[in-house]
Amino acid sequence: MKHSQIRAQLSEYLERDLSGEGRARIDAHLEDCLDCDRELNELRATVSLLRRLPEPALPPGIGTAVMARIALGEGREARVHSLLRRTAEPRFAALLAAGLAGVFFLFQSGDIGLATQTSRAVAPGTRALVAAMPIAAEGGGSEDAWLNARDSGLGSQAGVTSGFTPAAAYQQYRSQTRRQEAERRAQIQEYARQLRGAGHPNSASLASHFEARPNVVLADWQPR
Amino acid sequence: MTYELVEHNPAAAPIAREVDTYPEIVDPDAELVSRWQAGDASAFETLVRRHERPVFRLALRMLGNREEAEDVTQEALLSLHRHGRSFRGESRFSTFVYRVAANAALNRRRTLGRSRARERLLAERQTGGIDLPSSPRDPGDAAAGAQAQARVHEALQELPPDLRLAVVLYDIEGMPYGEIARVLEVPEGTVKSRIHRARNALRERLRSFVTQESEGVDS
Repeated sequence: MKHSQIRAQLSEYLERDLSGEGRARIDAHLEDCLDCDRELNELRATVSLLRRLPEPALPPGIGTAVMARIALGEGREARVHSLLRRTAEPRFAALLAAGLAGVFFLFQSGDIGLATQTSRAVAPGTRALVAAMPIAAEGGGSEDAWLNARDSGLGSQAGVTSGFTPAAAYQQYRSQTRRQEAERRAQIQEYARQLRGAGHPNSASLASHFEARPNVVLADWQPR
Repeated sequence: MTYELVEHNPAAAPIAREVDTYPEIVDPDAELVSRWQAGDASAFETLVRRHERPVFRLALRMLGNREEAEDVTQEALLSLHRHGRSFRGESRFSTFVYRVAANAALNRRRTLGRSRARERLLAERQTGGIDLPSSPRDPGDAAAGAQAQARVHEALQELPPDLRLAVVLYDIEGMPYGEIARVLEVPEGTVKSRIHRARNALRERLRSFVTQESEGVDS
């Protein structure tokens, strides 16, 4: 066996990754070849130097800064991507199907003119569309608040549209969203406090960055 | 034979490495990941606390500079938040984290001017603290060791990024070949060959320390 072939396998030899036969072949070669034997020892010494590198000290406040940046709206999925992903969810697929069915029904019954005026104008077609909408399951983040509010208004009525008004649903959405905003602001203040306490050279400026934005609009999406 | 003696030297003992039996291994992060994906933000915070250290370590070994490494660690964890919801458990979550971190470090490396990196490296060497260990393992040889460590750290920076990443994941992070292959998205054979080429390149660059080390081991 050539020296180059032996040398190409020395790392695997060191890690005991070779088969018995392969290992025996290299053992036999090393018995007679001082150069390859020296190279093996040097390789072993290199690995030993690498593995003795000390564990670096972790700068304080990394995790807190990341969580604070997320709370401030960074680290979100791109909007389009998020929408695309959500259309794959069963609830959204059902909504989409219901919407399409409703539109189809409106065309069929010929009262498309009524439905396109205001949502308060309860046309027969609208009723069918609303009845076909799924009832929301569990509560979600603020993105879901509007849908949940609307769906829960529908759920209790089970296909009867008279109790559902966009204004009431919007009020419910607003109060839910305000509560979530307040919680998120409190969380940001808490992160800012932790950053100040972390003692990192950048933490003071980071913390003041977060504290200077107490009125961040967290739920910027408004229902139409 | 010298190599038999050498194998009893604790410094050269094989690194503790998990046996690569994926996918039978239970992912220790699985529960947290599913809670996070179901909307529990505190689960993500726990994941961040759990993975910030390895991400920072990898970033530091890849970039050679604490400030850049801290920055890249934050970016990688934000990117994890951005893309992690699409994680479907095809690999371990930690493998996914390493992949995100490796990409973040490689991207930063590309955008970082070489001259700027070199300037910083020099400045850091002059102030004498490339990366201060949180607790030196053996205070007795800390001074002698510090010089070697600084040189090893520097030699790592001189490797091409693909070789550096492979050797850092294997010899410093202690990952098995199979997992590295999943992080780098290359075959295991390629991983092995990169590790070997990286070690050889380091051996050449660290010649004086290596000779000293191997003689110390021989005697």
